[in-house]
Amino acid sequence: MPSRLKILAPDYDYLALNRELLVQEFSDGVPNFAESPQNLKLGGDVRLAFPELVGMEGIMMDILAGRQISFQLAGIVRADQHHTAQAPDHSFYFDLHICHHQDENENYLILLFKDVTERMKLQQKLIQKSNETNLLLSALTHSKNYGGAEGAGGAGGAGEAGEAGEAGGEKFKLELLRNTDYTD
Amino acid sequence: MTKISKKICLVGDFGVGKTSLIRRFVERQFSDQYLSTVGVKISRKTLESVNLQLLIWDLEGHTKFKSIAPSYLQGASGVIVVADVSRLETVERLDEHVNLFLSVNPKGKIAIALNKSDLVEPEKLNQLVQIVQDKDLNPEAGLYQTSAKTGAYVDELFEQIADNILIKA
Repeated sequence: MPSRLKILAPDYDYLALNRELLVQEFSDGVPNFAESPQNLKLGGDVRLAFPELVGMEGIMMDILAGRQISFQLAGIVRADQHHTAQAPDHSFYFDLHICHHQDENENYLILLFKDVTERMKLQQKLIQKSNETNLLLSALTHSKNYGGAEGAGGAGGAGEAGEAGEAGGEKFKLELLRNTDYTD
Repeated sequence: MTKISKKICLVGDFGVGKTSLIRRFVERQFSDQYLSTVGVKISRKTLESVNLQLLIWDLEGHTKFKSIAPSYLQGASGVIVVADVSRLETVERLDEHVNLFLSVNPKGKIAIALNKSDLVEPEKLNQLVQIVQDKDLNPEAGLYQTSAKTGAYVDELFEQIADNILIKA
């Protein structure tokens, strides 16, 4: 039975499907990963609880038939709908791994779920900082292109404005990078 | 009549407003606060008029350090490729995103959104439209000058790509 998977891979929760994508078995933690836990039922269509599987039917059939070994979707977020400035954010992320499992005469598709919230929240912080910095730099470059070189420490005639603006942009970029704290 | 479900993706550079377009369309809301998306978030919206449930994948934006993972695009019936009209480089990279999508889904439907149209003058918008048209991307589901902030052409964008997907189905 696929339930042995829980012993072999304790960090993962699992769900077993048949060829018709109907739920055959799942571990206790799986409802926590479902978008609609109330729709997660033995014998039910797995796509009702996990909408990310809509459109993946071809891939899942290929895995079941052995034409493809596995498939992974990393960093799926389940957003906290009730999150406000006052309330804590309970959003969480998980990786979904789809593979095949043959057990005696039964042939299953196995969905493995792993909570990766910690990793993804850290990644979000880093990407947020980096993107904000780049947006600021883009805005500065844009204003330089339209506003001449005055902000970059002055320049002579109109013909020199581009060069001076570029030099100012580089200086500003270095300044931004110096001031960006990626450990935050 | 059974409801059909179809997957579409929003792709584009970081900060172009993909999440905001989805939020405007699904929740009828807008926030000025920028919160970068990591991984993927899936939203649902049913278009009652055509009995279609759209599963809208909001993908992490492309940056120079990280490209869009093709695995997220698999199984999508359509894509909305988004650019920010106040950042020319995001418009220039539209064809890169279109080609990536088509490499995974050669028969998928494509729409292009020139977003944040409220931030630039109509004259400049026309120039940007010309730049996109010169790329010969031929988005079957159209090219839209959207604003998630004002809501301009957001519904039209999603409804048109839904129609195009259904024609194919």
